[in-house]
Amino acid sequence: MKLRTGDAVVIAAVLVTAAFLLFCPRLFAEKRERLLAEITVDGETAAVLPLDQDAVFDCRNGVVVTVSGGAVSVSESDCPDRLCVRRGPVSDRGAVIVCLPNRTVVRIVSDAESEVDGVV
Amino acid sequence: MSDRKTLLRRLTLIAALSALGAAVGALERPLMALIPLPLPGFKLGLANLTVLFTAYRLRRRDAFLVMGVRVALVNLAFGTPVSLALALSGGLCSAAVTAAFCRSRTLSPVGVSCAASAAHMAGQIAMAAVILSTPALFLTYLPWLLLLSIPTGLLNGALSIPLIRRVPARLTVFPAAPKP
Repeated sequence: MKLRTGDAVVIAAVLVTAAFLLFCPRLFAEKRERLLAEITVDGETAAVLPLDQDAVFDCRNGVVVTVSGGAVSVSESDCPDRLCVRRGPVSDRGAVIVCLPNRTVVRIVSDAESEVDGVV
Repeated sequence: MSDRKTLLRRLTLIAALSALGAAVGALERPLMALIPLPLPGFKLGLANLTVLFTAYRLRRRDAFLVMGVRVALVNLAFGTPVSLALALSGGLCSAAVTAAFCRSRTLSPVGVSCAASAAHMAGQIAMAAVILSTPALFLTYLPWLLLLSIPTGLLNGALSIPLIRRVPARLTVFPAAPKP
């Protein structure tokens, strides 16, 4: 009972499967999930900005939202406490920046809808 | 040999092989605890030698029995319901692969053992993914277990060859040559 050709095929198949499973998420990761900043003013969607593109969005209610380096922040606001500005940049899916006086919400969503509604 | 006597010998052999497998499996647990590998679910799988032997020397369906009994014994004695589910799922897959491939002319017991070892990992991860509802395990954990399944599969396959060849035919019901 010597080793036969089929044995090498089995071992190669296992190795290839392992390598495929290991590398396929890296190949598809960027495509599969793209994070977006969804800006809502008065309950209505004002803009959806992809986090991988730097942008500045003026909500025209005193709030300016900035996307930079994969994170989104409220860069300017005319509200009294400026809590939204002090929140700083957020980049995780489900993260939310709220400016209550200006009734503005910035929420990070995935283009493939997630089961997580929000992280506070 | 009469049918009843054959049946009796087969039953006795299945029982003895199951007990042997359970004993090897039980001895392997503290052995694996000594090896500081951060990989739950990984073991040498020496107990699977009994299943390999059964598939080659008894009937192929007996391999399922030996697997089921030894897995149940070890996990009822030392395991948890979760470990039982994981081991049964893996064992079922590996026994199915063993039974399917052991009559193959292109595979030696080494190849069959490697395939069975990989199937065990896949079955185990499938059950874990269901229990933990984490399908990502297939991508994050299974590849490493699959890589490790090759050396353990080779080891068991190499050990099984002398067992399958040298254990005297009078000890088993059927001769080493496969029945039609």
